Parts: sequence; C-alpha cells; structure tokens
Amino acid sequence: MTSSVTQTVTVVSPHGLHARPSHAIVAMVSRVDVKVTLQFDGREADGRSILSVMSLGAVHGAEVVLKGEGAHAEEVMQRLVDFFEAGFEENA
Amino acid sequence: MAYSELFTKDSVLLDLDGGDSTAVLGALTDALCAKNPELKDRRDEVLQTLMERESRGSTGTDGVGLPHVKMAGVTQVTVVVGVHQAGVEFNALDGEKVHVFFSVIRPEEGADEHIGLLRWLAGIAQHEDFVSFSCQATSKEELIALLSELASTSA
Repeated sequence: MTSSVTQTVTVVSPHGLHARPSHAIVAMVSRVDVKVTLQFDGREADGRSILSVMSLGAVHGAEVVLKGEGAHAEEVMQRLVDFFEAGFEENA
Repeated sequence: MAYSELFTKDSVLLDLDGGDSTAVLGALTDALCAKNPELKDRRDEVLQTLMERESRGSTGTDGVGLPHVKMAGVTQVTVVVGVHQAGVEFNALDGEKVHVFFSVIRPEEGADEHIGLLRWLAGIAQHEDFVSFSCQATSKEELIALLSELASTSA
C-alpha cells in the first residue's frame, strides 16, 4: 500500500545539515523504495542526492519539511525524524 | 563576501594527475597550505585531517569531491578547486570517478557560514554540465568565471 507522509522537523544540531548527515540521510533513503523530498526556504531537495540535500543550506534552527511517498513511507519518515531530533547523532 | 571571492588564481589546480585519492589530497593540501599562511607549516596535519575525514565517509558523488575539515588555529576559510581530467577513484557514493575537487579548510567556529558555503558549492556541483565544463576549462580565469556563472544560476 502506498502512503504519503509529510512532517516538519527542526535542525537541532548546532552544525546544521552539513555533509556527514546529508550523506547519512541519502544512505537511509536510498535503501528503500520511498521517494523522499526535503524542503527548506523555498528550495526542494531529492533525498537520494547528497548534493541536493546539502544545497538546502539548512542551518541550526531551520525548519525542514520532509515528504515521503511509497509503501514504507511511514517507517522511513520516522527514522528520518528520529535522526533530526537526535541532532544527527553527533556531539556538539 | 561573495563565496566566489574565495577563489583566486592560486585557488585553482587545472592539472591534477594523482593516481589515487591520497595523491590528489596531497596536491590539494599543497595548494591550501600555499594559499593560507596559517597552514604553511601544517602540511602533514592538513593532509592527515583530510584523509581521516574521507575515511569516515567519502565526500565524492556525481563526479565531484568536497574534502573539507575544520581545524584549530585557523581564522579564515581557505578553498581550492582542482580538476582531474582522467578522474580518480575516490570511493564516491555513486561509485563513479571524481573529476572536480573542492577542498575547504575552515575555522572551528562558524557552522552557519560553513553550511552557506556547502550550499553554494553543492548548488554549483549539481549543475548537469558542471563536470564537463570544468574539464574543458583551459585557464584558471575560465574556471573561476564558470563557478561564478553557475552560482548565479543555481537556486
């Protein structure tokens, strides 16, 4: 069953959405058959492209809109939300 | 300051020819250290830091590599760009060879500015013709002009 999920998350990491978390997001998204986009400040990024995700320019405090479409969209979105909320799992 | 102003003629290496990622990072390190006096006597440290960063996950994808690190004792952002005509294995995410490298050494502070620079570089690198245009550049001025032009057309 295909589902569509939209959720807004805040970049809590003081480092912003830099290269390493961008890489991690692409790795999460690329493993599954879910189309994920990230939106910030009028720009939209393809969740499968690290350059696209980095070009959002999402700094600390940015509110990013995540959209997922596909059979396992809810699972993938939950993992992404957890990753954002965990500050990209990096030490300040 | 506009990000394009970070690029001067001494920021451009048009003839990278190292046979592997270590050789390429070495050439980029030489250019970074020559450009910023703060790095002049820290060549080994710069190279080692860049290599460590890449070992934690390649910054290469879509034909472009972005080896970048922050370092203590550095007060200004230093950027160099290098073009490798033949392309080199860089353990890129997509498995393809990397032809264009942007290497950045930045201060430990200034996370937001760094995100801004990454956004600027990634916007240029995403352009579908960026790699082929870069490989066709015949002068340093031409490559710098290409960066400015693509930056002005990216979102």
